[in-house]
Amino acid sequence: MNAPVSEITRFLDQLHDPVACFRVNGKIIYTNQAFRSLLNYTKKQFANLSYSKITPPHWHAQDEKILHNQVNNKPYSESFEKEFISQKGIKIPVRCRIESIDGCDDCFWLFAYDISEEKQYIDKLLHSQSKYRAIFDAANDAIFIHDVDTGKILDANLKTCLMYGYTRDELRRITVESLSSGVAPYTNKDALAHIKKALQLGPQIFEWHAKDKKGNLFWVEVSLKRSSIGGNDLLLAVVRDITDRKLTEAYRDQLIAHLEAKNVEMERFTYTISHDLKSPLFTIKGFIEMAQRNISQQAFNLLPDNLHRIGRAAQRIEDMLNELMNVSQMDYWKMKTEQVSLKSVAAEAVELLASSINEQNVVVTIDEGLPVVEGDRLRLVSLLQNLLENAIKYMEDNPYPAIRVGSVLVDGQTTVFVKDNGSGIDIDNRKNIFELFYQIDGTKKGSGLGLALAKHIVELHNGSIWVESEGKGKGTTFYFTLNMKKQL
Amino acid sequence: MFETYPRILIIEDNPDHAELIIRSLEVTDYDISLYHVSDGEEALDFLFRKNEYKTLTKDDMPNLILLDLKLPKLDGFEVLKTIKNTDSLRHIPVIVLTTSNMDTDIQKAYDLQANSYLVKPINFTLFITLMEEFGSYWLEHNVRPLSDNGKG
Repeated sequence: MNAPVSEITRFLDQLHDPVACFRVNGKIIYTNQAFRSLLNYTKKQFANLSYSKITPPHWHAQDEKILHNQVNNKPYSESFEKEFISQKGIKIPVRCRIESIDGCDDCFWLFAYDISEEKQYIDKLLHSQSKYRAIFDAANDAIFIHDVDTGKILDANLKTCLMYGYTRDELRRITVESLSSGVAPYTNKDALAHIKKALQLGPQIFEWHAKDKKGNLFWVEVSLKRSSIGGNDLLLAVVRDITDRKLTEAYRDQLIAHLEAKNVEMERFTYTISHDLKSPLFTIKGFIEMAQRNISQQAFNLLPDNLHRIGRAAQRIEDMLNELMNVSQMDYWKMKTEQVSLKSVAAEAVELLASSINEQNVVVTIDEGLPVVEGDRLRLVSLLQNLLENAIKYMEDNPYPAIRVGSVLVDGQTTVFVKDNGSGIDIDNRKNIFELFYQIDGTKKGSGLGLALAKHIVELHNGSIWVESEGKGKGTTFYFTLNMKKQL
Repeated sequence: MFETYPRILIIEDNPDHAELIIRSLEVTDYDISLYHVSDGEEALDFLFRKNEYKTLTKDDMPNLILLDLKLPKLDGFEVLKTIKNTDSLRHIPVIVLTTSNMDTDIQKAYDLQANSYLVKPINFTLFITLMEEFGSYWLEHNVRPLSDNGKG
């Protein structure tokens, strides 16, 4: 027995991989050279050690279980992983297998394989994967990873979950269809077209109308790119929420439209200055010429008429200039808001117009229920004055002219009205009447600024103004709302 | 050479402007009859011999019309459209005389078959000249149709 045993041990000592022989009770019978150097013990030292001494405690249960199964059932075990502790207290990961020994029921071989390097590599890999995961989840854009062939969602980062309201698992079970508005060009079909392009032509960037789990729609920008991750061919979709950008764009468009409207108003304004002012100027110059002829012909009796016409035309120019000044100054007075009783404002406006009201015997009624509002008192007086003045101006056909100022609820909002029984207006003119210098009837006094001014004042109070009339001869009602703050 | 003497209908709402047009036409030496109406409705009453113009005879029908565009009740374009859509009036030359030199107004007037478009100059001397040349062209050189009194 001796010779063969020494031959076997010599052979085992030459092996690169560690081999040892244990008893079931843990006693170490034999170790080869590789085993001893793995754990850095001498042969002698091993004699006093046991299996449990060279194995960290948390492996004991596993090893006992394997050993138990081994001894009872099979001649050798499946390979398993465990750790040993070296003399220096260093844990050494190994992959090993145990085998029964014929003729020795309580002995077994242990064949080990040092997997330190492998473990280190895996640790590194896991670490880098978790790093990748951390970056993936820290990204401020939603990132989808799609299968190239099926378009199926394989993975998504944390931001995706926050943006769309789905968990990662839910995302893996749904398709792009559930994440889109579904209205062309934002349907599943459109999405597939983009994917196809990204695969065939290269990275694609486009805007998309997205939908979250609750069904809310929002705008995103998608950057679609084919990418190889860990040797897999994948499709990467980086999705950025551009709601803010869209809002800014909408605001910008609104601003441009507003400025364009202002520009049109301005053009009309300059046109009016050059043309409406031209008419009285034509009169003045014409009658000065006439007067000069009358003088040279000694026809002095005609002079008063000429001068009267000149004076009237000059007065018209003065009126227009005054009102122009009113409009341009309107913007320069600082808005001074306070609690204003519209009833007293209306009364004040009536007082300012007393002479023309009396002259035409207009009956003006002011409702008791007029609200108290937040607003600029002076401007509100001017607003009521302009609306009343307009009503009086278009009243002459009615032998019993009457105007009522009151308030009603329109769509839950307190709305003030100025209602007359005068000449009424055509549907066609309803919008135009708020334009600068617009006059339905060129023979009427005034500059055509009154209603433009009224509109301007209402807009300064964040309100709106409109007009209703059942047609010519059926009276007119102006309505306006004010929104400085919630009305009291 | 004229079948009948010139009769001009002036459709102008501004009384001062009307007066100036009338006076400047009167100082020219043409033998003309002038009629003045001051809004669109009155113009059509005149041309169709309605209401206060019921008693007008054929001899009072104008053979030239001076038309302002900005008119109360019925604006100048409506008046122009009606004239050009009426068999008995269509042949009467309509000369638009206005302060407006807006492209849209000019285009619309010609689209509605205005025969001429004149802009009132601010300079009154220029206006007198304009009226003289207007008279020279329309009353002297221009040949009017023989059916001067219209078919109606």
